[in-house]
Amino acid sequence: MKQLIVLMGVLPIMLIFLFQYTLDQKNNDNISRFQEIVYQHKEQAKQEGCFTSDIREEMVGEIEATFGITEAEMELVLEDVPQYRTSIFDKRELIYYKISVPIEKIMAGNRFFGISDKDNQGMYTIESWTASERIRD
Amino acid sequence: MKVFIVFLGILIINVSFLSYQGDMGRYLQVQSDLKAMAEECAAGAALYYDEEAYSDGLFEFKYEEGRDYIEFILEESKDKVPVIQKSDLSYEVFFQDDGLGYEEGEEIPSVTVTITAVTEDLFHLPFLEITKIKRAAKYELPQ
Repeated sequence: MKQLIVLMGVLPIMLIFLFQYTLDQKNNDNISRFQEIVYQHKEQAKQEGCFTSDIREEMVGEIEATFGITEAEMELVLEDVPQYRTSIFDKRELIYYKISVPIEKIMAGNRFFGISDKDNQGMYTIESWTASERIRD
Repeated sequence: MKVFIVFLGILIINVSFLSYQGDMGRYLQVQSDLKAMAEECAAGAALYYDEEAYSDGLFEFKYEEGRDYIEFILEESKDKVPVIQKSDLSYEVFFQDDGLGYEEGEEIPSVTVTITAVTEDLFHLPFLEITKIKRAAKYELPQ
């Protein structure tokens, strides 16, 4: 009986490790996939000179499918005015992009440790610039 | 007492494993971020070339413009990536073109950017120490 009581106490603690491992794997995979999606669409934006509505829609669609979220939950700041290739460095002609997605659960069993669901989430952001390859007509 | 010691052993192993897994995930992300930065720097720097030399049939990069671009990207990106934010970033750029010449066996103009980040120990476990991450990218312009 004593052993059973000890097991009942220890089991939840041990299970948290298992859940945390799974959650870390999931979050890391999602972030890697997110980096790939942004990288791929940034390359398209370089060719077009900006994030056109088609590129934006495709990127948002892929992120939605990966994270299971809606566009309203993301933070998107994408250059939508065409920038052009220059022969000298001019930061005004660079394409700016900032994309944030929510990571809904960082720690498994957060309530067990007294951490609220609100405090157990965060945003993962990719923010940078890229040079346009579009040539002025 | 025996049960308690076994439990303590399993707990320590689990905590160590979780710590390692979390740190490794972060380490891989930083590597990925640095690789993306290096690729961006190389691809961007390769866009600036000397048009006058090109009209003479030679392909030469504008080295200073390329360096300006790389420095801008590194400076701006540094504040945006949490781990890199606290590290010392440095870069090396290597141009190969008709002006500077080519390495043996190569004749394609290219820009190679190597970024090094020296940071605090990325692993919390005492027997693992990684304080330097180096990633490189090469952008070639086949003619």
